[in-house]
Amino acid sequence: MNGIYWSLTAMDLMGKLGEMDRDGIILFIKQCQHENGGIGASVDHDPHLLYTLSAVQILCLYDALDAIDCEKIVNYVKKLQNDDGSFCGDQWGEVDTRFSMCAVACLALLGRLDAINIDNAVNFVISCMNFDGGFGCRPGSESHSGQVYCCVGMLSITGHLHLIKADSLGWWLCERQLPSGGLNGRPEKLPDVCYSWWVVASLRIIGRVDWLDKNQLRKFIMACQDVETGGFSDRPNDMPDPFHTLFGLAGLSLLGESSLKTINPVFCMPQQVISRLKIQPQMLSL
Amino acid sequence: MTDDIPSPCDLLVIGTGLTESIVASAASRIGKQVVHVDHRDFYGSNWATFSFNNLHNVLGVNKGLTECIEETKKETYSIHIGLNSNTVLNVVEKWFISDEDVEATIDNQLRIEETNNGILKQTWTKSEVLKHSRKFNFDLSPKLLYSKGEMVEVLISSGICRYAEFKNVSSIYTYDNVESGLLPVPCSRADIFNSKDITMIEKRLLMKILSMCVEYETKPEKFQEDEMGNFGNFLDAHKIQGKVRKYLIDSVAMAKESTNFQDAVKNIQKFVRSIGRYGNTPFLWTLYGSGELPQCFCRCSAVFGGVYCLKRSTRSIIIGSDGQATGIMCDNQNLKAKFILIEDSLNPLATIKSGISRAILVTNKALTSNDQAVLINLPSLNGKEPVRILELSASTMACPQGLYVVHLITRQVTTAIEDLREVIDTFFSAVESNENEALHKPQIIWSLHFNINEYESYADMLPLNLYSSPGPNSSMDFDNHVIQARNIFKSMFPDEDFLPRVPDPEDVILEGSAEEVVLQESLENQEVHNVHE
Amino acid sequence: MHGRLKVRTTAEQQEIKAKERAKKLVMYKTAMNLIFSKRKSGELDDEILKMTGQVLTENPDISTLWNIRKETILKTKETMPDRVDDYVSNELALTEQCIRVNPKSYNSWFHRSWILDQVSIVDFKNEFLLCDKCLELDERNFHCWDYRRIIVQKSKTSLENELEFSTNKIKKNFSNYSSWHYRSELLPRIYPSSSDQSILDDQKLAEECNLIQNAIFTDPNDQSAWFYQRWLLFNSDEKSLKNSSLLSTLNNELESCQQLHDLEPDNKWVKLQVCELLRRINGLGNETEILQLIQQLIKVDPLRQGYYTYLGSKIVEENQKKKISESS
Repeated sequence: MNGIYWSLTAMDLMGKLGEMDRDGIILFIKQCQHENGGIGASVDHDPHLLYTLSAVQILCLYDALDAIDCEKIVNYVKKLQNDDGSFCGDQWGEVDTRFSMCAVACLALLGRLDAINIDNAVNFVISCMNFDGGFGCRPGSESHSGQVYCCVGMLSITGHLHLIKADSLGWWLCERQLPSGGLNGRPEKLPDVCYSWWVVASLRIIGRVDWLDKNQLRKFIMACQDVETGGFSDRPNDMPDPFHTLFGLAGLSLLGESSLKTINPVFCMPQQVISRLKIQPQMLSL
Repeated sequence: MTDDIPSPCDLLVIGTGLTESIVASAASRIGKQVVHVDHRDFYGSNWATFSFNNLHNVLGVNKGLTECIEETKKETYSIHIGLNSNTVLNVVEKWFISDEDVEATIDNQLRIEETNNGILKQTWTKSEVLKHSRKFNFDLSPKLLYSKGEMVEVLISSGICRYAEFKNVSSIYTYDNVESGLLPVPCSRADIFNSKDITMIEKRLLMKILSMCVEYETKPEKFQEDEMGNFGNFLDAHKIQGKVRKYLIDSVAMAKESTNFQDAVKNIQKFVRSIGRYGNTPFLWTLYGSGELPQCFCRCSAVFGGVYCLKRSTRSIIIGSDGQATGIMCDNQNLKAKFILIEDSLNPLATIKSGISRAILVTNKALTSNDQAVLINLPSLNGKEPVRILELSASTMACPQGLYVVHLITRQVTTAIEDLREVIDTFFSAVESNENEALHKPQIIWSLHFNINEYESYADMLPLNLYSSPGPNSSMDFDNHVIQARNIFKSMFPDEDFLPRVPDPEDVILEGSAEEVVLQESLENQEVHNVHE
Repeated sequence: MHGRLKVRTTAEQQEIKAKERAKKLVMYKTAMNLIFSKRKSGELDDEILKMTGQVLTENPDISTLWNIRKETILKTKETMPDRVDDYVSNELALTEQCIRVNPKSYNSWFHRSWILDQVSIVDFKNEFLLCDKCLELDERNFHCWDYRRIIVQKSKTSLENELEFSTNKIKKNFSNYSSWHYRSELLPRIYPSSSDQSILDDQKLAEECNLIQNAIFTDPNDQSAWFYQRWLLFNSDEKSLKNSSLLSTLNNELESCQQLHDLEPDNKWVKLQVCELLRRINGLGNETEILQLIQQLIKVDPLRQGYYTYLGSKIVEENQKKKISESS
């Protein structure tokens, strides 16, 4: 399911969504929905918030939310919220701020944010804030750019960005840029194209994207494109895959690449789609 | 056995020292037929490691060799090999304990006494020590491996490392003449961070010098002035004084003030790059002694078809009419070969260059609290040569539990006894001390002093296909010998790989019956093993 | 006479590997079909455990297979309560194996902590040992750090023990950002200042300052130490700055940072820290010096010139506000 979302979004950014098998994909999503409303990674696989969000994102790209029972999805998401505001990924109880983001993004796309306890959800995410201004998986977990993106995105969707220590976080994020121009996910780690998305989207949401060198980053992303297949890899000269291809393109779009559609930094979907759904996530400015 | 020696072969090697063994294994590895002979009854030549009893036997054997003169045919002449009996000389053995305790010798157990303060204390007698003869491993030429040095790289790339085991040297000390005590040398970045001996500014300066030296090749412009002077001038220019200067000179660069800048930098680079690969210091010690290493290479050669003959005296090298060596006379047998390699100390055309002064002590207590392998680099004091001390505990398989083997190594000026007297007196005691247990020095139980000659040969004096390889020198590691072995190999077989990776077992296809091969290998293992025992 | 060795060529090796891959794919598909059909007919038995186990050791990220195992364990608890211990130790062995295959698999780590919840007695020593082994291989593995926090909670291990663990990790490698992070969580809980719960008591603060100074002098390019130092010194709000002991701490830190700056005139981290210290101690009085440093920062670290420019204008703005409030 994630693979389909990555590939379709990448195609849509390039204006090629029409080349994909719309009916087949929608049928597949229908087959993956379970009685409880949740959606699985594939047919016969158990439902999970990660795949439920991907499915909803795909349906939004196709403007086809009416193809499945959305109220069931809302119910599924609602039931995964815990008393402390956190979300489980599925019925087995794993808690992670990634799931907080999945839950609110999913509900926002369905226009049903009212279904959950927002205050509790926000409090939980804020309890995961660290000494460096970043966020981790759970309270006490180390900051990680992917997790930062989820938490910042979640606070943006719910309109609580004022709770972030934006200067500390912004500095931590812009320090992810390495001399190669690429970005890493945590201090003392290697650069990876996917962080061009997590870090730059986070910086954009908190209004501080000018704190890093966009030209150098652009050069790094371009160097990760495979000349033979056209796909993007994590680092120059590695094997390309759909995941890094989407985040490479999404990163370029955020940096203002004119041949791509504008991307929404919170939902990682074309801005057109978000505008059509009349969603306006909160953004900070300096 | 005599009939099995292939002749002619591709390479004939005389002497089983380290360099010879490396070349032998490299040649066998690429399919060359190697015959490796040694007149001794053990592997390793002047690199060997001995138990107590073997040490006594060998020191006896060395005295009684005779020279042989061989008739030669008309068109050829011979270089006579006077099997060199004088490589290890000035041997002085001394016991510092008596052998009065009859009871202990009968039950063959350590006697453990309860001392006044209640601490268990072991008392050793001469016969008890000798009962443990096989637990001692005394090195003629103890050396360390830099974790990222030539020796380790070649052991790994060739797969020969699996024949031996290693332990990281646990700590390095230098001598603080101001406070008259051993000073631990911070080796790694973590050591420097944790050190309580130096100030924060000193930490910065030490790190700065280390990283500057590591980057020496990439930023030559930084060093233009330094390159002219010696290492001391370089340290002056960067205002390095006090303990940091000591660390750098004595232990990191293994140098003197007067060492030239480039040599010191090379050593520093090797030191820094070797840290952290296997532990906190850059050095590895070979368990069971340095003498294991030549044996490992011999075993590799044997696995790939090398033929090994110990106790075979080479009487002469035969030179053909074209001036090339054609073979050797070995116990009345004429063995022919394309290339011949002989160890310097057996080569009559090699001359004595200098010597090493050595002492081996057995003591009852560690110099430091670190109960592993410890390296101590003593700076040159009162104009004397620097002395290196290597203290080995039972965990390195050098001796039985409760005892320590201490190696002292320095350049020879007079004799081993004279050259090392001052250092031994400073750190060790010849008699049991009655002072406070915690304060007194380790007591010497047994000592052996000797000198080893270093030889030098000139390639232009030898036939083109006759090579002469250096024996042990006073350097701390093996790397020069690995380089020399590679050069000899490359000169013989210029287009071949030097010790390429040994194939993984699943990629090996056995030609002939598998049983036969396994048997062959196990026999060879046994042979090496027996000699070692 | 001798068995000579012959080595397979790379092409031969590749061919063997390609065949193995194709074989594996067929096996995977067959196994998945069988697993799903057994699940549908309610056959949650030893065989399904064996089959899911085989697939998971190859690919531990198929969460549905872990779920099937969880269902099987729950069923066993009901039908064969006396055999649960065997099943649990089996799960512990499998997750350990999967963690070894992929130490970053969310699913394996979560399954392990779920399993711990299913038994009354847990051998925590074993769990800590697993974490130690795993962090030995990768000291930054955040899955393992998170798992450690879970077992600390479950086993009611003391925070002091964890602080010591973090100290030992830092002694081994002070560039371990994960361990500095852990300290930032632990210290305010163990040694809160009496006046302000978000900062440390004076003595502990002094000790931490010393520790971090040793790190930044040993390697001033290590960012872990600088992030931690910034938190240590600037976490308090404006009010606490009136507290004279904190102010004198900042002055001491400024002095040592300036020493370091003299030794490392091109280091951006020390420049920025001097800037921030000057700003906290007396932003208005030090404005000229601060703005000079910011100009230098833009030169030595052009990638972040946007940030430094913002910082400069922010400080000027702060100072203007101060001027207005002082004059009124």
